Amino acid sequence: MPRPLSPARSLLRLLENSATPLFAVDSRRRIVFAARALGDWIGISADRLVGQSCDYHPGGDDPLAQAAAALAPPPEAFLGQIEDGSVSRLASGKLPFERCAARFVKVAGNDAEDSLLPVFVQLQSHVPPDGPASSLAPPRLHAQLLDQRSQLGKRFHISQLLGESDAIARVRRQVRVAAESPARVLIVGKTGSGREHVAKTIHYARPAAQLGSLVPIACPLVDAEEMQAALASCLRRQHEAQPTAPPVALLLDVDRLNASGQQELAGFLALPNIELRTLATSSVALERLAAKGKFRRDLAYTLGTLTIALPPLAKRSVDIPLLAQHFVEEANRGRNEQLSGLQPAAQELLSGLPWPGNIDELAKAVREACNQATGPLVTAANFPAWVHLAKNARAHPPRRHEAIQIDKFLAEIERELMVRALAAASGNKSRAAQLLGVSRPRLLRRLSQLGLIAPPVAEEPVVFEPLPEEP
Amino acid sequence: MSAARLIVCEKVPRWAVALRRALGDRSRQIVETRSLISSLSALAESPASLVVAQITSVNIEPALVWLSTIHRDFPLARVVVALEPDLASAEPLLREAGAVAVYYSTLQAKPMARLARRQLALAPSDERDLWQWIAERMPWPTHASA
Repeated sequence: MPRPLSPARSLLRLLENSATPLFAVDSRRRIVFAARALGDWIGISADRLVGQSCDYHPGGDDPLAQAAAALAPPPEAFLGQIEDGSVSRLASGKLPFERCAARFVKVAGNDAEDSLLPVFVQLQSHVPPDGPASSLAPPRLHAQLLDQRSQLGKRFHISQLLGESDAIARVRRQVRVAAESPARVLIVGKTGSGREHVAKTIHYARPAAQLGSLVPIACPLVDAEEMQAALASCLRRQHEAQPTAPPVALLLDVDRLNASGQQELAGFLALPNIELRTLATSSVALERLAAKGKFRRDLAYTLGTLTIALPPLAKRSVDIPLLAQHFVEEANRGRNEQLSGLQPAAQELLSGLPWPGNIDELAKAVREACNQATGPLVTAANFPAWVHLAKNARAHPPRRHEAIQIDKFLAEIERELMVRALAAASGNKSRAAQLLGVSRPRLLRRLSQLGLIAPPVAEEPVVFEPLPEEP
Repeated sequence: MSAARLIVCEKVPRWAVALRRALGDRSRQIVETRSLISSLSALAESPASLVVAQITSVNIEPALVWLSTIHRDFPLARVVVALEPDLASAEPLLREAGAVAVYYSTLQAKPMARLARRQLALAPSDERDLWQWIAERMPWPTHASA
């Protein structure tokens, strides 16, 4: 006679067979339980999900890790700050991407390390609103990222291709064409716009059978001798690695290749029986340089059979919130405390900047801010000083070649210093004088002269009337 | 601190000596480190540097990871490898990992120095306008007026 199940085992059996997709995550964000219905919903056996990490980030290259990461509850749920939110199912096979409402019920243990977070996926319910600025709220951006990653597929390194703008959608189409074509590709864009990244995306998106070795060549540094050595090494790698797939020379900043290097490269590419693909990056169109006599015309046409122009970040500022969310989630890898996204004020700060360094500069700013963040959301104050300085500098547009009145100019700077010192001293003028290294009377005099305080009212002289004489 | 220096990473200073001779007046921009890890700290101070890394059979595997770290965290930096001749077969792999050039003997210090001069000349220049220059020197930035 079989032994009757204990109440705990009975409950476990009941939960395993629940019709609601249900799973539980421990304090280290590992899935410790998954109901069969969850496996049915995401198309992966529930048993395989147990033990997977549920961090709030892209999830690596493994499909199982990606599916588990898509289920990750937002960091606020682990802190007990929210009970309602959403989780996502990645698109796979016949299953489309889906974002579903979910309920989080934090169960505290004896200590912080011991808590459990059961998650009930509510298939029939609407996803709760994400907040006032719903299109930019972190949960919505997180879901958008998951959907885009799903669509772009595992072959692409996608960070520079993320976005909803028409400009980047066009680039994605061009990248797909380039990945399927044997043509030489030239990627044109400003520094930091992701040229090298896109070039590698094109290379690694090619079918495995056509994947030769990729050898980067830093064109601003090489002359004819170094170019020859690099190209020879490229061909040698082909023989060792993949004899059937031609090697690929990644010509970085080819617009800055000097004349002798251009000659060597042109000669090499013209050799018969040498099959060498090229992916080239440049900050300007090579035909334009050739028209000015600064680049070999034949080489410009050879390298640019297919040209992809990357838009600067300033021209697609609508993509900044999604890109920033992506970099926050990238920073979550290997972090104990996970971050959910950016506060609205932080998003506003980033969206208002010109980003001359483009995506690389944005990624750097977000990485530094994540290192300073203490709560689940990154605040504007977490961003480094250089980001705020860039914002302040924008308030004073460049005034090149303009005559100044030096006294007025210096007074403006002095005024700003005094405003800041008073704020730092919480309005205490003695303390502000100390911060500025001046005496209090001098500070008061300058504050009055600069109009920062009302001038002191001249006191009326006190007149003592003589006492009446005693009779 | 300059944005670009020449960082030479080797156990025994052979390449550093040869480069100082080859570079002449630029030799004061040379920084020597004794490990790949410590060269990352030097790079953090001068992120547009040229790093000369001595690669041997002992450190070749960590060197491949180190190359990808530099590529990710210091996109303006460039790496040149000083490779043991016995490891010549690893040259294509090191180039694929991101090394811009591979040299085998200190007799090649002159071409290496030429490459270093070009990298130092590419260091980003200060194009900030006057207000940004002033703004960076202003104290109490969190109390800046709007």
